Amino acid sequence: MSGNKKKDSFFSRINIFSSFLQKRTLTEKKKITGWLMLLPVIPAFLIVIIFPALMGIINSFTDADIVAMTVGIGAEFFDIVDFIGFSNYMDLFTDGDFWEVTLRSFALVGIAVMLQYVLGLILALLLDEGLKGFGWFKNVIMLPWVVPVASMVVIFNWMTAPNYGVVNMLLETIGLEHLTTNWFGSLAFAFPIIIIMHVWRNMPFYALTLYAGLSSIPQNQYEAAEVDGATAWQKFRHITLPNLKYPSMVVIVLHVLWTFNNFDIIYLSTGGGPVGTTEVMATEVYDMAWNLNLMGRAAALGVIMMLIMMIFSGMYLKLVGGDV
Amino acid sequence: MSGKSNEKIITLGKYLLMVCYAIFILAPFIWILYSSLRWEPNLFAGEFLANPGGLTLNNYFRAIAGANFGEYFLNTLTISFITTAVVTLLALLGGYSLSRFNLRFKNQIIMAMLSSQMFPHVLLIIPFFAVMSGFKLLDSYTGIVLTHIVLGLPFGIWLIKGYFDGVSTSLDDAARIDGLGSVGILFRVVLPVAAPGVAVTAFYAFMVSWGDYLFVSIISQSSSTRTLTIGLDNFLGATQIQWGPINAATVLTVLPTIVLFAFLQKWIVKGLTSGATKG
Repeated sequence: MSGNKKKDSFFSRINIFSSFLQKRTLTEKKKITGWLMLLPVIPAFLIVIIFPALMGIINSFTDADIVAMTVGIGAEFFDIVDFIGFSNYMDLFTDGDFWEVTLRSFALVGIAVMLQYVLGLILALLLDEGLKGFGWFKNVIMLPWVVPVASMVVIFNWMTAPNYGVVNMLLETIGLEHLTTNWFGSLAFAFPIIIIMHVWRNMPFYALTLYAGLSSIPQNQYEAAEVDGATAWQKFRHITLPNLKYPSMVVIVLHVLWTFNNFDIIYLSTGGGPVGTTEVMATEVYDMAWNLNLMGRAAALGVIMMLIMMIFSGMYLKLVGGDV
Repeated sequence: MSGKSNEKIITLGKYLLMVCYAIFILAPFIWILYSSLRWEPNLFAGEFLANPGGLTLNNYFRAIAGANFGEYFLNTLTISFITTAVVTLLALLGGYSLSRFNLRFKNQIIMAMLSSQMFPHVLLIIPFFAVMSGFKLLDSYTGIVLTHIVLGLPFGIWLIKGYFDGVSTSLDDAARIDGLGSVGILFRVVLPVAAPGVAVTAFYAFMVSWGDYLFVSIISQSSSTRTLTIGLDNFLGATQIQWGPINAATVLTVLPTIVLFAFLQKWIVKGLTSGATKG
């Protein structure tokens, strides 16, 4: 009996060993295929990450202008530009409206993301109710998200146009003509309209993500709570919200990044105006680089944006963990 | 009894709220479509619904005839189709590789891809401009397409990888026993199952390219490479905005993305939300 057992374990060990060898050669061969499949992608990453990061940082310490950029990336570049230390950064911190613009970027991200989340959550809960007659709504909800930003800007411009825009016409119809205004040209309303455009465009994304999260909550949790006599609010507070924690975090951090990074919504609609009341960091970088021809200082501001982004992304990767 | 009427009021409230959402999300689409079909003088008459002369395609004819619209449309179409094809193919290979092979540095590569999302595009465009200028690719399709590929690829790979992760490897193993190689497995076995993921990636790449303003505004230098988003912006910047044609041009710019979206809608929604709900 005991001899038999020994024999078994001996053979099984050989078996394991030989299958281990087989597997190993198989995976080695597979790995080469894997690398080959990945090969075309790697230069793209070098171009999109390492090179621009390095060049952006180098530029931020120079007095580069557009002419210096047109010579390309060769050694000539260094003949044309001078290294001026931290001057660009000092200039940013001391003069100009750096702090105002930075603060506005944070305000935009904070207000837009908060509104998008709250409104998106309410919409997700409504979708989850399965209201009769609204089954189709899920299918069209993402439409604002697929519209090019330039088109969205035209649509909102047209709706808020001074004399014949539908918003002003509606206000007149209901007797509020004293409220009619040139919305995008108004000091008070330009920034709120930009937030509304962000909400219009992104809120459906929150709603669908959270709706998907809601659908995956096991129904028996609610049933158990009902047996215990929980109120609707208690169920929402202690079952729904905790279960939505992960999708909420992902969708919020993604949009913090996208909103902070976004350039074209503001640039195309107000160009940062009127009188700078909608200028944010992204539009300021673009203006400095391509309209004021201050490449070096633009790069410095871009690098500061990048550093802020890195803090965000650190948060995000920590949230998502190793399972990316 | 009062409980029941309470419930009725709550249901009514829910419907009202839902209607508000529907109006908020859909009204801009309806209004631009309606406006694009009205005679231009009627747009400025201050009436919502009065349309002497009926509805018309006149604005569309004017949009297509004027202001390089045809040229821009063709440029946009060409650039975004090439971008979509290349990104989809590369993302397919890369995503499959990252999902199935336990490569060294795999996690670092995935991290690098995600962190590329964190770079401000307004900073990226400065070195991009230098590179394109150095390689004499300014004002060329190639320059713009390369830029869009590089922009779309990281997130595209991530989307496809996420989809492949959800496809069981038992299919791969069975195919391998049948003697198929990795590439054969990818195209004959995994691809048909992961088609929704591929559709999402292709759509994402198309959207990135079709809607891009920033990079085209710098790399394009003449009407021969300008795209629709630039055209719309020029339209809007005119001292005397021609609202009739610009509304029609906007509808034509939006239409392709909506048509594609309509075809791929179910898959896109699933693909976009799967990443956020797996936790």
